[in-house]
Amino acid sequence: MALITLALVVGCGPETPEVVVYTALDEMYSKPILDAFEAKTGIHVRALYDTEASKTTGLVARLMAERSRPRADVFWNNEIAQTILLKNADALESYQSPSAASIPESYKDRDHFWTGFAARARVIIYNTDLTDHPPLTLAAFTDPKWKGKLAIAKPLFGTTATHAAALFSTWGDERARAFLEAVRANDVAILAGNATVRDRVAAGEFAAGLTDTDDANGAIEDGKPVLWHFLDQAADEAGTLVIPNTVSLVRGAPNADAGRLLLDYLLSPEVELRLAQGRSIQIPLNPDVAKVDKTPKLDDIRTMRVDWDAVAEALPRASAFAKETFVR
Amino acid sequence: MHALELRNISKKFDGIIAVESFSLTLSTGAAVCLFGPSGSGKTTLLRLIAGLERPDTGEVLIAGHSVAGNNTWIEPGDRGLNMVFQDLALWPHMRAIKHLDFVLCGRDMSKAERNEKATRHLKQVDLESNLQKYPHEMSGGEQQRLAIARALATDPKLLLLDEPFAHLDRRRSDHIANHIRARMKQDGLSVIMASHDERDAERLGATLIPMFAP
Amino acid sequence: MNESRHLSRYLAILTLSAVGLVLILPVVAVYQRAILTSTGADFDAIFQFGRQAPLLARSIAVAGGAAVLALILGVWVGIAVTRAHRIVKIAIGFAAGMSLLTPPYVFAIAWIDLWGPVGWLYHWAPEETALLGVAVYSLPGAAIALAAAYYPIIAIAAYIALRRVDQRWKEAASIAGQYHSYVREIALPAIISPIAAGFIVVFLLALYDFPVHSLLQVNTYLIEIHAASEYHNYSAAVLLSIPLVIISGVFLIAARTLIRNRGIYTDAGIMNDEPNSFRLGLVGSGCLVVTLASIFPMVVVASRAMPPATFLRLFETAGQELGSSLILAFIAATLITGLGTISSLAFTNARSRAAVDVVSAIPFLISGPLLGLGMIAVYNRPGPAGMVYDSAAILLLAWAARFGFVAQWGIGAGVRGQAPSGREAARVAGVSWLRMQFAVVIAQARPYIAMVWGATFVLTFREIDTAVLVAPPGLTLASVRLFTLMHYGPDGYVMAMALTMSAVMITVGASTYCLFAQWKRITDARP
Repeated sequence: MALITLALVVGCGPETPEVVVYTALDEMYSKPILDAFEAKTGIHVRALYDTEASKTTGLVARLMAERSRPRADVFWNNEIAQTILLKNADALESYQSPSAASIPESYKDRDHFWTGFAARARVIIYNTDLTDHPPLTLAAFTDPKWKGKLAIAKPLFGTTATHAAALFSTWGDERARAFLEAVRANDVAILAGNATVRDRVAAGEFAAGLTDTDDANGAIEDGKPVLWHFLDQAADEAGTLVIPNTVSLVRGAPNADAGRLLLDYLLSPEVELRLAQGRSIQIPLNPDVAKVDKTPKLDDIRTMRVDWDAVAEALPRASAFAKETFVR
Repeated sequence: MHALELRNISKKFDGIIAVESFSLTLSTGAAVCLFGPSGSGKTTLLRLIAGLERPDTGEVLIAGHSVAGNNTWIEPGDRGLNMVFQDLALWPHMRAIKHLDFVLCGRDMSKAERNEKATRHLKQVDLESNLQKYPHEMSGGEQQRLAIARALATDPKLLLLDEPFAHLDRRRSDHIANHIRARMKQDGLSVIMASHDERDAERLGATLIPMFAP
Repeated sequence: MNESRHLSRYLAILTLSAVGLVLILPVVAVYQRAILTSTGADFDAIFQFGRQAPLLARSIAVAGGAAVLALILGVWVGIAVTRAHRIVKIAIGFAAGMSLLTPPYVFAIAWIDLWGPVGWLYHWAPEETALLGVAVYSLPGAAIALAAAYYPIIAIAAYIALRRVDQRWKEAASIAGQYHSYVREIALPAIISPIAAGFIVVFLLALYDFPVHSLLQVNTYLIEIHAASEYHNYSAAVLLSIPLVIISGVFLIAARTLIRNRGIYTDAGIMNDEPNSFRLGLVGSGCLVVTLASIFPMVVVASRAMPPATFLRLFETAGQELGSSLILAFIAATLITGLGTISSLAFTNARSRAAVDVVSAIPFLISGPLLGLGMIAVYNRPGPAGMVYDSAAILLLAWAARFGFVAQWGIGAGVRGQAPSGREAARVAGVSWLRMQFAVVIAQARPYIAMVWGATFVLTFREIDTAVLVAPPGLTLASVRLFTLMHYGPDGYVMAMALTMSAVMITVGASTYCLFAQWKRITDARP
C-alpha cells in the first residue's frame, strides 16, 4: 500500500516541463545554479547528487546501467575521464551548445559529446609550519630530498587516476611506469583521496602533497596553515593538469529539449563566474568571464597539453599498473 | 452415548511407538485417569484426543461423532473440549482476566458478559484477588488454578487434564477437584486426566487406567 | 475453520514468495550478467592469486583483529554496565550509542585527530610518544579504530546476555556445591551465544568498511572490487566479490544458529555478593574504556562542529534531506518489520524457515552497490516496473531486499523461542487462527518486533551504497548528502550533519530498546 502511494506521489507529478540532471558536483555548489535555471526558465529541475568518488559506486555506474532506458537528461560531471568512458559506452548524445563557442577547443570533445567548463587544477599543497621551500614539480616526488615527506592520493580513483593516465598518454607507458615506481621507492605516502592529502598536510603529518585547487582552497578558507601552488610552472616544465567539469546530453534523454537548454545555461559565463566565486574556486575556461580575486585565470596557468581521448584510453592501463605498484 | 471413545489408536514418532492399539470408552459425566510412568504415552494420548496430533491408525469419537481417523478430521477448537497442559501454557503477556476474556472472545458474547463470566470462573478457583496480575506475578499454585479456570471457561463437554494437581498443595487440590466434580455432576462434564499420582484419580473419583511404556 | 487456517497460511506463503521473488530477482540479474559476459580469459585477468591472496588475508586480519578487540572491550563494558548505577548506565549507553551510530568514516577522522601523529592527546605528552601516532596508520591501528567504532555492539549483546542469567540458577548450583559446573554448563552457554553473534556482526562490519581501511592506509581485498567498479567492469566486480560473499555467508549462518531466544530476562542482580571495591574497579575501568573509545572521539566530532550556529545553518540547508530520510526510513522499517512478522507466521516449520532465512540474506551479502545495479537491471524497464523505478518505492524495495533478513531472523528468533503449548492452548480453546497469531504469537514477539523496527530504521536511515544508485532524481537523502559534503563541504558542517544524524538514530534506537526491555521483562518473566 505504502509502495503504491509513494509511486503515485513521486512517479506521476504534474505536467510541468522538467529536466533530470545527474551531477557529481556537490549539491552545495550545483543546487543554487540549478535553482537559478529553474527560476529563469520555469523548467523544474530534478537532480541527483553523487557521493565522493572512490567511496562508493555512484552516478556513472548508474548512467551505464540505465542505458537501456535512460532516466537522466543531463550529466554534469566534476571531472572528465569518466565522462569519456560514458561516451565510449554510447551513453551520451552529441550536442554543440552555442554557449560553448568561447571555450577553448582543448576542453571540448571534437564530436560534441561533452563540453568542459569550470576547471580544477592539480596543485602542490604544503604546510607552512614545516617548509618555506616546498617542492615545485612532479619530479620532486622522486627526489630523495623529500623521501617520506610527501603524499598523494591513490592513483586508482578520481582526479589522481586521471592525472596518472595523463602521464601515461603524454609520456608513454614506459616513462610513466618508471616514474610511478620511483614515487613508490621514494616512500611517498599513498592516501585515501585528495581531501585526505589536504587534511594530513594541513595537520602537519606531511610537508607537502599533490591535490586539487578546490581541496587546497578549502583548507585555506578553514584557516589551516597551508599554501598551494600549481605544479610544474617553470618555462621548461610541462605545466599542470587542468581538469574541467564536463556536461553532456544523455543518449535517449526523456526530456532532451529541456536538457539542451540546461546545457546552454550551465556553459554560460554566469555559471562559470558563480563557480569561480565559490569555496571550490573553479577556474573559468571561457575568457569572457570576469576575474575573481581568489581564483586564478586560465591564461595565468601553464597547463599540460593532453589529448583527453588518449587519457581516457590510457586510464584502465594506468590504473591497473598503479594498483599493482601501490596496492599490495 | 459415550463422551469419548478411542478405537485402536496407534501413534509413532520417528518410528518409535508412543501409543499402540489403545482403546477406551468414557461415559458422560465420568472421569478416567491414565496412570503410568513417564514415557508411557499418557500425554500423547491426551494430545491425540485434543487434536494436537493425528493418530496413525484408529479412530477418535467424541460424543458419538468421529473427530479423527477414518478420513475425518475435526480441528481441536471444534471438538467441544478443552485442556490443561502440563506446563500450563499460560500466556506470559496477558493478565489473568485477559486469559479468560481471550478464549471467550468470538463466542457471541458482549464484552460485559465475557467479563462477568471470566470473573466468575476466576472466583471459583479463588483467584478473585489476582484478576489483573500477569502469570509471573502469581505463585505456581495460582498459575495452575488460572490454567484450570481458563479450560473450564469455554464450557467444554470433555476436559483433558495433564498432571493437573502437580503444583497444588493437598487442600487446594481437594478444593479444585471438588469444583471439577461439581461441574461433572451439574453439566455432565467428562474428564480424562494423565497423572503419575494415584491420589489425583481418587480426588476426581476417576477410574484408573494403567499405562505402560510400549 | 480448518480450511480458513490453511487458506490464510497458504495466502501468506504465496504473497511472501512473490515478495521474495521480487527481492531476489536483482541478485539473479547481477550474477547472470556477470557470468554471461565473462569468458575464460577474463577469469585469469580477474583472479590474480598472487596479489589477491595477501589482500584477502589482510582483510580477514583487520576484521578479525577488530572483532577480537571489540569482544574484549565490549564484554568488559557490558559487565561493568550491569553493576553500574542507573545514571552511569544511561550515560555509558548514550556515549557508546552515539559513537556506534556515527558513520565509521567520520568516527575514523575523529580517531585520527585524537590518536594520529599530531593528535590532540600528544599535545601534553613528550615529543617521542607522538611517534606512536604513526601506528594509527597500520593494520593493528585500523583494527583498533574499528574495534573502538563497533565494540558497543558487543557491549549491548553482553549486557543483554548477562541479564538473562537467572540468579536462581546460580543459587541452585551454589547450594548443590556445583558453582564451577554452574558457570561451565549454565551461565557461559547462556551468555556466549549472543556475544558470539555480536562478534560475528562486528567482524562483518569491519570486513566491509572500505572507507575506513582506505583512510587508515590499509590495503584490503575490497580495493579489487572497487577498482573494477570504477572502470565499469561489473562482471569482474561481481566475480571478485564471491570470496567475500562466501566468507560472510559462512559467518552469517554461524551467527543465525547463535541467535536464539534462550534463557530469560531478569532484573535480579547478577552476582550481587562481590565486594564493593571490586565493583567500583570494574565500573571505573568500564567507564575508562568508554571514555577513550567513545567519548573522546565524539568530543572531537562535536568540537569540530562548533560553533552552535553551524547546526542552525545545517537545519536551514539540509532540513529537507533529513526530513525525507526520516520519513522513508520510518516507512521502510515498518514495511520490513511487517514482512518479517508475516513471514514468521507463514513459515512455521524449521526447515522452510531455515531456507527462507538463508535466501533472505543473499541480497545483503552481494553488497550494496551490486544490489543497486541489479535493481536497475530488473526495474528500469517500461511498464509497472518502470513506474516503481521512477518513484521512491524503489528505495523501499531495495532496502527491503538488503535488510529484510534482519527482520526475518530477528522476529523469527522471537517466535521460535515461544513455548508451542501457548499456541496449542489457544487452538484447543477454539480461538481462530488469525486471532491466535496476533494475540499470542505476535504479542509475545513484541520485544523482538520493536528491536527489529529500531534496527532497520537505523540501517535504512544511514544506508548509502544502494540509495545512491536507485534514489529517484529530485530526492536527496541525508546519508547521501553527508557523503557529498565530505568532499567540498566545510568540515564543521560535515561534523554537525554526522552528529545530527547520530542523534536521530540514538533517539530511535534508545526508544526501541526501552520498549524491548519493558516488553521482554513481561514476556520472559518467571514467578
